[in-house]
Amino acid sequence: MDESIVNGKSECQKLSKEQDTDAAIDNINRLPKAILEHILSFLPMVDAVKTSVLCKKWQYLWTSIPNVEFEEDSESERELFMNFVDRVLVLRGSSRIRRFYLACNVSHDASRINLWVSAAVQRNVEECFLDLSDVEGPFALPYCLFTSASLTNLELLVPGTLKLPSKILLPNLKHLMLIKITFLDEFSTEQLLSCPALKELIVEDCDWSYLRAVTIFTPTLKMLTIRDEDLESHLMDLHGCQVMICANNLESFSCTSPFLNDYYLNQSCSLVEAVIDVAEFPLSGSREAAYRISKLLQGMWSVKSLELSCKTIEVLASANELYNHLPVFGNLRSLNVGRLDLECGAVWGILHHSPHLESLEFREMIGLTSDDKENGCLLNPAPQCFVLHLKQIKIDDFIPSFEKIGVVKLLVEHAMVLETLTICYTGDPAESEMDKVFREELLKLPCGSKGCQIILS
Amino acid sequence: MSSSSSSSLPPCPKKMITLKSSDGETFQIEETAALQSKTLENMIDENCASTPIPLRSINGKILAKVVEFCNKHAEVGVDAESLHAWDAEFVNVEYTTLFDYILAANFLEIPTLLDLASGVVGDMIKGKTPDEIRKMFNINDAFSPEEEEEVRRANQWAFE
Repeated sequence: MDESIVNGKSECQKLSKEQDTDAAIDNINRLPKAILEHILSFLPMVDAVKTSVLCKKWQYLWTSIPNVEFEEDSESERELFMNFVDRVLVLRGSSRIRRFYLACNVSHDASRINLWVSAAVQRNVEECFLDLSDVEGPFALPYCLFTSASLTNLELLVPGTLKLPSKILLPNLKHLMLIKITFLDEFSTEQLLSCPALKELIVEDCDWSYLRAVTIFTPTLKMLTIRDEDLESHLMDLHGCQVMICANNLESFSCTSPFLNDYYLNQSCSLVEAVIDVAEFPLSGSREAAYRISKLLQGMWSVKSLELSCKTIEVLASANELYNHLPVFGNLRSLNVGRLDLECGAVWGILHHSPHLESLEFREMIGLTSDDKENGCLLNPAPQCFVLHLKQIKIDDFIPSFEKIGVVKLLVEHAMVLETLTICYTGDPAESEMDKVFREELLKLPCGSKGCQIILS
Repeated sequence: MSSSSSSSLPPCPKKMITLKSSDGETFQIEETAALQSKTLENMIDENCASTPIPLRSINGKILAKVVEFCNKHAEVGVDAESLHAWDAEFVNVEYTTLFDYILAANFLEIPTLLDLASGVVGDMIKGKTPDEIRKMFNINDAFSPEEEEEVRRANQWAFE
């Protein structure tokens, strides 16, 4: 009898142990619904939706994920996609949408797509990304998108004609990216580009040709990027727009463009870094582009670090009188030119107008003939920075020749406080006899500065 | 007077609070580290932290790890990269333990730990088929084939 009790007891213990392990095995479902929803918020939408078939508990968990992404696949059936977006937006009820991403063709469904965008705005969307294609005729997005108080990030890629509302108020918008938008009128464009809290603005391949003059007024703006690399070819022949940028707290500005537009910087006294690159442009416009770049440079007087691409220098060299129009770059410490062309007025001008320049970097250079007399004139008088501040010269992708070594010689002769000259070779410098000669030539360059170190790498 | 001042002023006075796990273990944690938990912060604010705080839903093994996590994240001068590596090691555990971390972080309201562990579980689900997920987490109460087909059809776009 005693035995049976013991047996009974042990049986009981065994059972409870089994239950324990059972509970330990099947245990993602021991997490409460809110936590499972939180886990799903870390998943891409497609993965989250797939969990609907795991078991009953998971069937609708995904419907409240805060980030929704819809990307129409050209291979899948359109109606299936459209219905699915409808389903997601209906099922989630009023639960908040943090991020809304929609990439699809518009075709004949403009009103349905606008309904989705409105649904996102009504659920207090913070980040909205719309990548729309196949836009037929003039297209307008819902008005509420342009008056949302919750919106902080907006990215619009809408090729074709996008009609902006006449009144835009996005008080919390911090990041705005516009790609392939055709701006139709000055008034709405100015409002969109001048949102009161804007910190970062990216304008890519937009069509400004309907506008004559626009002022972007954003005291909060820190970063501005203009990228016109893939413009429609018909735009090349059109007149540009005058774009005045009043952003007195702007810190970083990058412009890659064929300079069909006139970009001015006004009152940008906090500029830390600026990059100018010239994209493909009609050859006939070279002088005009040079003038536009020089106007842009005039507004960059406060910049600390300036980068001008090789193409930019090439364009600037087509209008040598421009050095007259350059401002004094009193804060400039670091200059990177794609191509060092000492005979280019603008390069000469910038060197002479940058009294505190400490670092000069370049990739290509225009070689000098061995005529010392003529060469001597190029840096005579030497720019002030060469005498007092220039500590570093760096040459990237150096392919040696006697003409190029002539340039390097000229530079180090005149740089009186130079600390390091760094020359980065492409390829193996020890490869040929000729390289050896160049190497020796470089290492025994007569330096104006006593403590100068020459580094070949 | 001199003796009392020397005893009441140790070299660096740190305010400690005591946590008590469901199985009766006690853990000391500095108040500054404990403040990462919204739940504990509220108790400290309301002066309820002078006696050991009983945490009935967290066992000693897990609580020890949670305290370790809070201490690490309260350290000053740890660079982001090494903290990231430490975090990755911290959550390199069996998923059952991950769930315990999640539940503890949820109860104590420690968002960094909650997001860290939830993100790892999310990564485990990412890119897997429903069957693989069921197997991984031993989900046994699956739909019947007919029911599953119906759910699948309703959300067909995601399954393409």
